Amino acid sequence: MDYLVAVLLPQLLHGLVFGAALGLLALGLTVIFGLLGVMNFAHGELYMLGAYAGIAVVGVTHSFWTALIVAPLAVGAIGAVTEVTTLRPLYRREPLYGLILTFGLALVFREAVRQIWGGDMRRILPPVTGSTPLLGMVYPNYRLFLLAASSILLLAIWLFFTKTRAGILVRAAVQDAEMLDGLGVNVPRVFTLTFAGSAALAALAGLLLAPIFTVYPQMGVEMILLAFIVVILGGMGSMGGSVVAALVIGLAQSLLTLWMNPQRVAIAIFALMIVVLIVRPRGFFGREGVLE
Amino acid sequence: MLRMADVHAGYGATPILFGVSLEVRAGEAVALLGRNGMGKTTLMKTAMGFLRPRRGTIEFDGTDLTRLTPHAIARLGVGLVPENRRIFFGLTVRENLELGLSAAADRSAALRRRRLDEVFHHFPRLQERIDQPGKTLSGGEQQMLAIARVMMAGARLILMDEPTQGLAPAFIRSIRDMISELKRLGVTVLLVEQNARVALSVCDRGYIMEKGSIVFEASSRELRESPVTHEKLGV
Ligand SMILES: Nc1ncnc2c1ncn2[C@@H]1O[C@H](COP(=O)(O)OP(=O)(O)O)[C@@H](O)[C@H]1O
Ligand SMILES: [Mg+2]
Repeated sequence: MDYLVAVLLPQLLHGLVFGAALGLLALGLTVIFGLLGVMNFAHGELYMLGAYAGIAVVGVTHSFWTALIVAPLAVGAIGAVTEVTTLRPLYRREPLYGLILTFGLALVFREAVRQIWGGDMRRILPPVTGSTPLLGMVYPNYRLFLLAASSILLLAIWLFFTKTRAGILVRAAVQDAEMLDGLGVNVPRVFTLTFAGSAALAALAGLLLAPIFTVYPQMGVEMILLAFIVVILGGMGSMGGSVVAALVIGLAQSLLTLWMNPQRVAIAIFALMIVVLIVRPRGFFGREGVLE
Repeated sequence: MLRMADVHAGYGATPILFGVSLEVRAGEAVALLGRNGMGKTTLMKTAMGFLRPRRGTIEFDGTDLTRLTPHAIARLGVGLVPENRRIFFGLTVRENLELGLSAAADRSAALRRRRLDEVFHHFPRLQERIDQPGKTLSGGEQQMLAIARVMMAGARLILMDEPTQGLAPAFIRSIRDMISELKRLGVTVLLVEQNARVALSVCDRGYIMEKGSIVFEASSRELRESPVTHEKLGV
């Protein structure tokens, strides 16, 4: 019982918190995959840019809350400009070109950050401190805030895709962008705004997680690997699947660290992915198989 | 209303259309016939702006379409009912219909209401299925939805690519009746069909296409009787 309350429960909550934030990252990735047919290798760097943009804004305004609004907007704008200037000319080509491009963009963003901020580890102080007694343990307030914020964001994203015209346009573009254009919708603009939105979401995740992690130029690399696994597990292009898979991976990662060192956890997560894909080659909710 | 002159187009480096010229006048229904693989769908895609012609001109009401995007062409009043319907499977019937409204200049609630009423008047089955996802519709219902979608846009010229393909006879009749009805409403139609009998029963005249070129043009009556039709279409 003591073990449960003192060790298992907090770790379970950690997993939920991390999984929900990972879900934000994976959602953007899966939507872009649905739209462009490529995994966006620069997605982890947009996540990283969110944290650095947050540091910059906090440096000027001394307000984490302001940063939480300004940083995603700034990274969203970077995403929009990137899409228009570099990705758009490649849409008529094979997906491989897009893949190589995003890989290059990731290197450019990482190096640019290293030039501006240097390669050191940095921290952002949590905007809320203290802890709350909860289910017989005490849990940090910032993590509770993180869980609430991520859940609200996931719900808002779900409402966006099911209830708003803009969200429906994105879903239609994922299925058949050419036809949607033929119905009178400015599809290139839908692409740009979706890319910007996905960048802003990644940035938001980066900044939200920054107070519990550290900020450094490579921080996106680890996360993107997990996000890829989440997208594959969820079923490439399935949004609901991504959220479910993110929570599964978040919990698995968090619980496994109780018994293993980080390298073994990484291996175990890969093993988990392989087992799921053997049983369900299309992931949890995928339409097209990755292993078929 | 639609005038194509010497249109050359294709996919990548592969040319498919070799100097197609045709005309559809306002209020007409015109059939475009031809065997499989002759380039009819390619022609429709080129008119809609999905493919950019390499040479030649395409005019709609005097506007040059050859450099316009598909959405710009749709907003001028051209609607495509594509081969294989291409409705959005994950979206409900209502959402599919509302996407159709995208090409309308004004998307007011009043216009939406009016257009939906029109569409339901013609396709009561769609009203019954209004909140069902597109993937649950039968082939015939999907075809109705694809037609209803361009009616929502208020398209003045409808490009229809094999609307009866794979449908049961009852649905084929209702699609044919719908085309006559569209004509009566003043909509201009360019109809691609494998089923020449159906096409010629609703169209005023027709073209026959072979290997990317128009090889014959005549009134529907002549086409029904001409040995050329039989020779070119194998019917
Ligand atoms: N996306 C494509 N890429 C390359 N070739 C195509 C494509 N679509 C059709 N074709 C080729 O173009 C030719 C004409 O096809 P299509 O216009 O679909 O004919 P139809 O509609 O008359 O049956 C065919 O030889 C077909 O193989
Ligand atoms: Mg065809």
